[in-house]
Amino acid sequence: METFKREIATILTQLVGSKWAMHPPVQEVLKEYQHLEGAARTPTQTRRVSLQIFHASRAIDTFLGHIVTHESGKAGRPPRPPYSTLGNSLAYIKANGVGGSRFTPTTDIDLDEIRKDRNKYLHAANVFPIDGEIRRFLIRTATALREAATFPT
Amino acid sequence: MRHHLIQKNPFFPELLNQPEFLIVPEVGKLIAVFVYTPRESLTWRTALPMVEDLFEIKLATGLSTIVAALLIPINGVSRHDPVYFQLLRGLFDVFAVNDGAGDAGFQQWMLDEFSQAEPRNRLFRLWALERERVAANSAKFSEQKYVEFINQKMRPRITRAALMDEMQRAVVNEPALEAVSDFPVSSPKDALAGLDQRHFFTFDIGFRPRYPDEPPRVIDFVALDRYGSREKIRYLMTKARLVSYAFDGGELAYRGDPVKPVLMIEGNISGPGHDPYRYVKALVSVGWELEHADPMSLRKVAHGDF
Repeated sequence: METFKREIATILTQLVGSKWAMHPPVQEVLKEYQHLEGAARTPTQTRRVSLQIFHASRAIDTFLGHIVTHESGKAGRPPRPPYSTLGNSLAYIKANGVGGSRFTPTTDIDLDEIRKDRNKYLHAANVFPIDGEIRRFLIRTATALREAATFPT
Repeated sequence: MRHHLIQKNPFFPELLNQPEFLIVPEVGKLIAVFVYTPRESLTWRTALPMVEDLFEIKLATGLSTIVAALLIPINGVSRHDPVYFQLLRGLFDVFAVNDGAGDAGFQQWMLDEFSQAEPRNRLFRLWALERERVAANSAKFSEQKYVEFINQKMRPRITRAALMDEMQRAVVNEPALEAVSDFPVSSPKDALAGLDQRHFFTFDIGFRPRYPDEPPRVIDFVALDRYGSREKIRYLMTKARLVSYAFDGGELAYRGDPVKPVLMIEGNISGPGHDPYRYVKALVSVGWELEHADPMSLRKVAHGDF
């Protein structure tokens, strides 16, 4: 199994350098990716690593949930959805934008694929991704986080 | 300057050239540093790939990222280099040339520059417009449409010069076609860089439109292969980006499609094994139409039959 260390370290550095990093709720997102960076250093074939990579992607839910909460708190913006699931946050951003920005169509598709992959591997017993799937998942995760981090605060 | 976080050799999957460092001097501030070590004098073909790095990192990480370029000419600064330094200084948020090979004074100067650096506000509009344009163009990509361009067995048969001869012969006697060699297209690169003279991009062939509302079709011919093509592709990326803009009343404006750029490829543009369409996606995202370099395809393009 590859370790994907550089990819994950780059996600983390970019997030720390984004304006969103100054918001307290985003600290949890950063901590999650610090755990993931630790896991990615382990060059092992164990299932733990692949599971941890998928599990850590819940940081996207938290990050997008925070972005939606922050946006909906601005005057005249629609209220946020009742639950901060990935699907709800995506639907809000698609419909309303964040400071005038939205995800590009390809990233929208990537986020949908992330959601599907997670359902496949986290909700089914004894099913594990191969290296290629993990790499694609990480690239999609990185693209989505990077784009979200460029949304105006 | 107290560094909060420094990452050496970061990796952004979609960039054609990676920065050497990411620096986060404080939470919420990101600096990307590119280091260039040219062995020869700069030309448009070597300076514009650096500008492409700037476009890509701004689009990937956001307008507020501070992008620095550090240039270390291996054989010293040549007579014409200052023109390109002016271009790069006008676009990068921080730009420095070190021809004294890493002395301590220079390092201190760089650190001071980083600590005070801010993104250039006057270019925010360019990055924002380009982000929208790239998103719209990227929707045109499909693997099925471009599968032939990543076939590594298609090696270039002939050089670019021979290719141009062959292609020009193919259209020289075509009736109802007005072909112009070295077709000039304006761009804001001179104004953006604060250069006194006008600098045009030239395309190998341009076909004047038959109808007033059609943009001219402009063609570049390239011989590309799996390895060694990245700098050419970075140059072509910037070329397609910049011809889409102009200054209008002192404001930078997107000017639609002033030309229809077509890249006619001899060989292949396969990307790395885990992302073979990387270069195809990149070129399509900035507006290039891709075609194989053969006389029949050229006639098709010349007659506007895409």
